[in-house]
Amino acid sequence: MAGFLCILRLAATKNLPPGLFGKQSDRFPWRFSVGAFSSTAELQGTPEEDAARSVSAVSRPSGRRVKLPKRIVRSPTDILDALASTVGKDATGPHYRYVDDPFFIPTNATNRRIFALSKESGRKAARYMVKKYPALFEKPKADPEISAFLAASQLGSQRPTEPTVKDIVDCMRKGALVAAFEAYTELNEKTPEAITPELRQELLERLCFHNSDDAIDSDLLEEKWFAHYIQKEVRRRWKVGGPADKVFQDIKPKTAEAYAAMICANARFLHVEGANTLLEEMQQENLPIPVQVYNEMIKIVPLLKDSIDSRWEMTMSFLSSMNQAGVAPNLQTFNAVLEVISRIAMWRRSRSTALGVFAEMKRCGIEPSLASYHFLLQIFCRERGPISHILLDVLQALEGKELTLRDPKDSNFFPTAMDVAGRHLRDVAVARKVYDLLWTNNNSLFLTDALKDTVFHGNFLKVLVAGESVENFFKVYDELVPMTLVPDSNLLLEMVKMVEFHEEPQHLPRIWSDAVVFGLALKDNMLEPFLAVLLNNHREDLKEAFAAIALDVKTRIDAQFLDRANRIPWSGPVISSVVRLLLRNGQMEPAWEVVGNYINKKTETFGFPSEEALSELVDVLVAAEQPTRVKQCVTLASDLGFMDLVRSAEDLAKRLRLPEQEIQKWKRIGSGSVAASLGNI
Amino acid sequence: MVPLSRIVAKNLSQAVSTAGKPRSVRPFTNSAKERNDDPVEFRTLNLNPDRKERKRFEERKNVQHDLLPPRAKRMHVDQQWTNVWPAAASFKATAVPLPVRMGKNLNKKAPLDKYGNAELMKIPNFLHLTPTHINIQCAAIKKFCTPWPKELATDADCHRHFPVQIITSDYCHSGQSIRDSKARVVSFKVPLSDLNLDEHARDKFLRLIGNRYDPKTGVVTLISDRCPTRKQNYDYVCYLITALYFESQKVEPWEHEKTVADFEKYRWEGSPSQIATTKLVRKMVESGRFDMGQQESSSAEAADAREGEGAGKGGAPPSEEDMKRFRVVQQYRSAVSELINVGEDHRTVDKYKDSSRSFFFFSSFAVMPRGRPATKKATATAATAAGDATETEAVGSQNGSAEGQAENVVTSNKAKSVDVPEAKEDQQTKETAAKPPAKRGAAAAAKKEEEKASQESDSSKKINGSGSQPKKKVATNGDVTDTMKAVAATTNAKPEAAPATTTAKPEAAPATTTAKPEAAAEKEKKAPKEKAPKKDVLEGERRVLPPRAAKTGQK
Repeated sequence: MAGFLCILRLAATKNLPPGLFGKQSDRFPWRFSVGAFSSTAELQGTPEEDAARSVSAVSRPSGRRVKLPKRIVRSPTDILDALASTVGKDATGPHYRYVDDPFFIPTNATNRRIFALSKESGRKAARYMVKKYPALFEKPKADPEISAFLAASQLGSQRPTEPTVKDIVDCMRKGALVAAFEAYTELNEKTPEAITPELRQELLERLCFHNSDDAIDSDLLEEKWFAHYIQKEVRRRWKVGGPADKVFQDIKPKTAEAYAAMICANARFLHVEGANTLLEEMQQENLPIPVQVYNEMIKIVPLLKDSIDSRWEMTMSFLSSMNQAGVAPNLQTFNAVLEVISRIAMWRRSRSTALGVFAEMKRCGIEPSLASYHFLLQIFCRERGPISHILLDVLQALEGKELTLRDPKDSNFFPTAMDVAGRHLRDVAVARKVYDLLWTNNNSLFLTDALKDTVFHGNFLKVLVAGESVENFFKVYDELVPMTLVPDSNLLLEMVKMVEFHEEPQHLPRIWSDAVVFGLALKDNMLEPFLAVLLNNHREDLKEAFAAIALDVKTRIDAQFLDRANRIPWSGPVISSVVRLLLRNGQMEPAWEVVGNYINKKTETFGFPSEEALSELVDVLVAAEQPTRVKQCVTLASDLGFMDLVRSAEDLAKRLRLPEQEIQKWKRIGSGSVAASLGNI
Repeated sequence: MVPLSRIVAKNLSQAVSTAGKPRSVRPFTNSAKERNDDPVEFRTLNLNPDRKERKRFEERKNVQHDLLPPRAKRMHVDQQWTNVWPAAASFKATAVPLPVRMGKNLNKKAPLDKYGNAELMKIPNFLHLTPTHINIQCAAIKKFCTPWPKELATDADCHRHFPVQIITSDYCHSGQSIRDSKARVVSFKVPLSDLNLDEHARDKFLRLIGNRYDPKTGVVTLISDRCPTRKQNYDYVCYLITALYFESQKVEPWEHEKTVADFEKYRWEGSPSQIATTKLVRKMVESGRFDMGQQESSSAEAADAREGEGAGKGGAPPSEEDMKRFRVVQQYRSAVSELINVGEDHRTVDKYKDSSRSFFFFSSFAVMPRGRPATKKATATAATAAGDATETEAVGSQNGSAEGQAENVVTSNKAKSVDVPEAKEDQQTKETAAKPPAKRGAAAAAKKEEEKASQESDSSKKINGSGSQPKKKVATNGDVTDTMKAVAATTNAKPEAAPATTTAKPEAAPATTTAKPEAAAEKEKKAPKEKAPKKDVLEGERRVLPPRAAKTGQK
């Protein structure tokens, strides 16, 4: 669909000669662009130029001056940004990575991941095709040319036969580090003098940063979002003797920058010994150590030393050597120190030391980042430690500030803060404050992956469940579920408890339907307690709804595929609850079906129905005058050893007005069974 | 081998079944199942009898998914709709909390509801353009807007201050290329009247641009699409208008060689007709019987042009420019031009007839003085001219020094009815014309008359000098009648000038009334001496104007 936009401009032109439109040249406005009309940049020159030009005109007939205001300078995307800022959060809509259609909105955590990653894998498949058949993607069709559409933009797609310095630079800067290193090795053998020291250093730094791998494609957003799930298995370790090490060996003489890059990379990829050795070498050669090296070394202190005191000692030694060398600490230094303290569990002095670090930070004029507060919270609010209200102070310090990402660990702050508010302080008001802080400005960007997102919102709802009224809770619940968060069965159970506690069972059917949609309804830990709660409520107006739930349970369990690996079997309590709930609403047939299936062993079952359920069913069956079924039930009762029921068999037969011969048979039902003998004893 | 046998079996069975024959041929099989199924067929060869019969894939039943209820049902009443529908999108039934229906139901039921309704998805919707959306978005981009210049309140102002219009079009495509060749077209529009062109240049300009000028709107439109980019086309258009402008200003040496035969139209100027007319008028003026002060067209411009010229009546011969201003000459000119340019039809011929008549009528004073017929003609002329609102024909040649028959005044009916002050002035003028015969014997007051006349002329000067009515030249020789007529012409020429004239009147009027008898008497004295035969005319005129005379008498 191609629309078109017609822009009509009332404009006078700069290229026209004076005197064309009037006798005096100043009668004509050479340049004119009126607010809304001026939008074609092509004819207008740069915005600065426009802004600088104060435009005015004299009208010809009357001689009144037209004073034109200066154009307000704006970037090409300013209007779009302004319009985008008007769009807030759509509580009921899915994230834009999903399709807004009930069939395509994922309703549980697994589906969320699958849907998003499937989309991404489509993208990856396209990439694969481009890489495999680059010849098909060489002709530029786009105008202006979009390099990302061309095969040449793919990482390492070109393998030049005669590598040049330019090839190395191109590959390297595109992130194709493997290809870059190949080209480098070849060139280094032939003409090592062609490679400048700067190029070597850049290559080394890039190899170090990416651990000699190709750079991670920044376009694969979904993989990033679900990184916690994907990358759990692949723990990235430093490639000892890999390309980075080789390039480092080629650098002669070794420079401080080369050392720095290597030490940082070794430390970051947890090659602790390597980092330590290189640092010692560096110190021996009397090279200046930059602040980044100190930062990375402090971060790995817990890996180098075991005991609390030695860890702190080592940290202090790094800091004092920094001081001696005159290297000024930066934000990362302080964050590293705080991280070390937070890793020293149960250190007596940890709190005071952390506060000391904060004071030092202030003295150095460094604004703490969210990561600093994150470590502070970890230090102060330990699980088994005394309760600390430091979060309130932190929130106060953050109030009204424009937060920016200054440290990779900044993203940990919000989950930690919500965790502290929920589990440490158990304070709804504080949790709401943290939540509000997340949704001011663009702070929600600090939740950088799915795990953090889930933890944050899950904790928030858990606090609310514990401390809010039912009405207020469901208000927030509606906003967050299911688009932002899919609750787990624990949360649902807590909701059930809350509803029970506040005696508002009218919300139970709704919780059930959510549980069904989220695929949690038939889970062991969910089903039995939920049905038990239903059974405990005797509200007349709700019995129909509860019976519907019971029927739903029955249909769902029976409708499972036989070959399904993780199919959910009937259990004794579930049978009892379902039967009783159905009977309460007078639905005898389905109730009998459940018990009948159990008796005839048509369904896989663990456990057995309770006596109350059976006797209730028998009563109803008797009332409905169904002697065959009653007899089956009594037989079952005798098998299960429910002697009260067995003993009443005669009465039942009489109530059913059976012939005398039958009554005698019924009397003998329980006598032969083990239960009967046990009962007699 | 096993897969091979299976493939063979499959293909064979397919081939056989598609041929529509009974399944008489089947590959060998040992499998019990197949044997049982169809005892007729051959057993298939199973080379690996130990292999378990692979369980066939069981097709699952269509699973009923547990779907979320339509999200519209979860929406709060106080939600912000702009967040739900921020931009244009095709209709989504689950996201719109409205019971919309569309399309025709063949069973004569209500139109189909929104779920899965393709009709609703086809049409464009405006769910992204609610008043709230517009308010919010306008507020968001308001910071980029500057106030509208106050001087450009109306469209007319805009066109006045910025006559040039440049129109370009931008095109958006959802394709790989953002280019569109149509975007290069630039059109440039300017009203011709805003180009500062004289007659020659205008003519040349119009010849140069050909059909790019729209005579209805008066706008010149230049469109360029010959260059590949918009910038180039824009520059080209600017170049074109500049070149055209200066080219049209040029006068080539050979342009003077243009002869009458080369004219694309008949031009009265320079034609034998004009020469003849000029000669005629000049003769009349020289003979002193054709006063320019009276013969000017009544338009304001003419009045302006006449102002301060001080050309005395009858004195210097009028230039050609002056002559063009004579109403009769103008009429004649347009009639002749039209007759030749448009062609001969009833209208043009009639017009020519009328204008020629009127021309000859007033020239008849000089050549063939006659009473009644001439008067009739004059009235007829006045009647034809009555269509023109501003017209007042003060026809009559008089000159204080020469002829005594200055009383011949014909005023158009229209002018009289429209403008009261003017009518009064006319009356006064008529007074002068009417009274003299009654006072013919009063020659004794000649000296006094002269004094008063000079007095009067002074006061007239004052009027003309001080008032905002600088329209008419002042009769410097103290001819009262002349002055009065000048005032009359002024009021006729400019209706809006009436107040000024009326304010001037109190001063002028008494002087006039007192002066009139003497002046008229003086004329009357002279008149019989020199041109007695014209009495008839005077009488005729008097008959034309009895009511005025009566009124004046009452005064």
